[in-house]
Amino acid sequence: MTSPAVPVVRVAPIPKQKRQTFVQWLKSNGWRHAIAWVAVAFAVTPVLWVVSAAFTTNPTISSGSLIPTDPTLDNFKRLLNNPDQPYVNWYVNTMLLAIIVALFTVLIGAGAAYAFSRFRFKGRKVGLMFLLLVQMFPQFLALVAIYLIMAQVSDVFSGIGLDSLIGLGLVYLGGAMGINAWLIKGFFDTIPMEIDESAKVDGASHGQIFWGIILPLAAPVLAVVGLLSVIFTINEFVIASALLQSPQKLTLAVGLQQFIGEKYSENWGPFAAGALLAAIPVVLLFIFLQRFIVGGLTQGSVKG
Amino acid sequence: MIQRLIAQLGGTPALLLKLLFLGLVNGMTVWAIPTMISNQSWVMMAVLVVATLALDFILLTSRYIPAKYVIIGAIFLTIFQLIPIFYNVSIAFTNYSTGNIGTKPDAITAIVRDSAAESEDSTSYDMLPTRNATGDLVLILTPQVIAADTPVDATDPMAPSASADPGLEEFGGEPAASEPALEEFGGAETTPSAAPSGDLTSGTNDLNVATDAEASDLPPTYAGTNDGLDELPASDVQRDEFGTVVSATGFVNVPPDELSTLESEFNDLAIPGPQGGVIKPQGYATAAELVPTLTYDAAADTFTSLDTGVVYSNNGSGNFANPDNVEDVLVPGWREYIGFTNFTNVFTDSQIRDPFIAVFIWTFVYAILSVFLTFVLGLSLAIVLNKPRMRGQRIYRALLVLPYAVPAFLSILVWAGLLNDDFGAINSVTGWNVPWLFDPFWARVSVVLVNLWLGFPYMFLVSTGALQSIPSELQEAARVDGARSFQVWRRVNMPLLLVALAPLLIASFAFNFNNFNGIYLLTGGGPAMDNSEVAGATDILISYTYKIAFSAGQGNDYGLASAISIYIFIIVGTISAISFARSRALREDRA
Repeated sequence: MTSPAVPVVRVAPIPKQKRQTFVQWLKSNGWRHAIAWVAVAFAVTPVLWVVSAAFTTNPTISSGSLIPTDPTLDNFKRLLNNPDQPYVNWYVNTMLLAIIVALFTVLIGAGAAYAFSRFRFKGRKVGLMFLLLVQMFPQFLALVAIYLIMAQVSDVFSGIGLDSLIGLGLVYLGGAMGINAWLIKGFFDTIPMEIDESAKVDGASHGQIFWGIILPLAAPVLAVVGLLSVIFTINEFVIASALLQSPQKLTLAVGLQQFIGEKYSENWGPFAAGALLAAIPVVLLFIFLQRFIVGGLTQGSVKG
Repeated sequence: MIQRLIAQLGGTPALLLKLLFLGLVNGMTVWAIPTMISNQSWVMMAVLVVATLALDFILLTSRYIPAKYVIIGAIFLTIFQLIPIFYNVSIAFTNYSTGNIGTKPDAITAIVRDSAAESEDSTSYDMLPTRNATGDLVLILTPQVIAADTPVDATDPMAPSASADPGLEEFGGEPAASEPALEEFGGAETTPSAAPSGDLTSGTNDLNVATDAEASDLPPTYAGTNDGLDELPASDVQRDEFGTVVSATGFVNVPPDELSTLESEFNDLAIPGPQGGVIKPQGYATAAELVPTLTYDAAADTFTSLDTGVVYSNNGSGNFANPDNVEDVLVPGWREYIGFTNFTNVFTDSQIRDPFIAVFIWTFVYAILSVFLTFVLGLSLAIVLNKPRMRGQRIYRALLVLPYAVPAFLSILVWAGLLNDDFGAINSVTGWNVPWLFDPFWARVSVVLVNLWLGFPYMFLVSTGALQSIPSELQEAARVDGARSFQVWRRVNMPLLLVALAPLLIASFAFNFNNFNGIYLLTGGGPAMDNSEVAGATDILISYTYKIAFSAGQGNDYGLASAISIYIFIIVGTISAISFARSRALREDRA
């Protein structure tokens, strides 16, 4: 269920060019620029449209233009000041949930990867195969069962069952070990055993080796796993919409879907503002961690 | 610095942290045991106790060091992935659905209770809702002197709720829960309570009678609770000039504007009446003693209707049914194991089969089209931009990756707005008038188009990576051997690319096969198919399953949804197995 991974992108150095005629340029590189422009337009237009709508007062979806003529913050005010749609709660819920789940996902995945990479024990191969096998059954396929289990949990621990963000986070952690353990193990395997052994000679325990040596060295792959987990949690709709009920406990995906559903023309402006606010941290995170993504996945990846 | 800190933590503080953590876990388990026993949640209790003991054993002893690193993840995996899978499989073999939720004894109780109706000789009461000193709802009841056959629910807003079954509302307001017990029977001759048999003036008559009665002896007044009727001394009861009871000493009237909030409290009331039935509120001002119209014969395991004499027998699939008319079943039913019925219904029951086949085919078309189009576009762009002497590559790449960086659910909701056919930007800017989301064909075009937008940046990135990892020596060698550039592409580059990217393409197929958000957030699976209440033209299997299980309105069929999800698993599992078998990861570990 993790998002697809990004491989290395190496940009070749651009050698100095001689002056060309326009036709020569068109033949060699010009058509490439033309295609690139069209593709960029396809990729970027919807995004620009939303940014523009966010800053336009009462935009209809159609009347918006790519550059707002008279930019205002009205939509943000309408979005944040409406108690019927507690956007701030959704925002905080989603980001906290995403970060906390990512943190535990990384720890659970790294722990399992450490055991499978550094220890030889009975059932190791079976365990690894088992993790792959279980991963083939996406968690949300068992949605009905998860819902019914959480309904039972509600009766005993009212805080972590249905309609609880903690409960939702716990459910997400059920999918934390499978493919992540494999991904991280691939990276751990590339860290030479000699490092562990020399630490062991110096008297380090297995815990000290894990926390003090392996984890810091594996930072790139841990960042990738964490980022993928954050993106997964923010995008997850099915389980969240089945488990969460109270308006102030929703995640952004469920909340915004309910907010905009059926009322596109009415709520388009505030929705655009909300979408913009929600997208910014994720896009920034993506940009900041891109070099980790590149580094992490080329070294330890199972994904080519 | 950090290393030193961790080295220090390795001693006593780490041990203390561990003990604190274990203390919390053990404390929670012990605290929860009494509740679980009283709820009879045996499976849950077993899982929790075993998990806690395993955690204690592995973290406190040093026998299994690797297990210390796996145990917490393994517990989560077990509780929220493995157990749901097994539970899911077991649900698939049941008739678990709206109307078949509880146990058989619960269903029998509910059928008897819901069949309760006013009979010819049952008493009606004038009712005054009040609260006693402790705030509990008490109905002040005065028998109406004429045995009324007043219409009960013809115009009364509260009447339907009187037959609602709170025990079944586990999943929030299922339609069937509030239906009358004899679902298939048309009102009049079989269910007197729903029959508008009373004359329109009966209400006035009652009033007159009460006035007349004032002169002679007044009917007794009772305080009705679930414990029964308690006669009130006449001196404690205050009446108006018509003889209607307006208040009672020791009880506070419920204010008129709060009456509408009493629905659930009314539902919980079942006052035992003198004729062996229960007295239930019929609206806000009257109550009636209702007597069951169905009786259960435990020895024969049948229900007999007192009105029609029909004998309903256990049909073996969770309902009491009329043997002469299989459609005539009593609701609610109960959960029953029904073997492979859900699995075979997908192929034999035409109401399920026809939409299922349409959805099944579209799922494959959608997934294959998505992979193919994103790959073609992504690869083409990668080839176009993979030119050493080209300015602006960096900025092109950064902008092309933008759809991949924005959370997909947001993009999809935005696209749903842009494609809206009334006021969507695409129609109004282009001047087209395409029903993007409301025509079956165009809705399918839309979901594929949006998925292309979402997916091509990924294919662009992986194709660029794969292209750049092809050794240039190979291409040069081919050229030296006389190959033209097209031949170099066809014979050298493409095979190498496909070998590198095949696992990713398969993974992408598996992802799109279950791309719930891509469908549900854009079209909701719609527009609706002609031959199905649930399935829509753009529904893929996973969104179809979700709607079967959870969408309101059509009722929820958990059993069927679970069975279909197992089919999905078999399909995706087979595809994934092929991909994993080819994956580098496995081979590396074998080495």
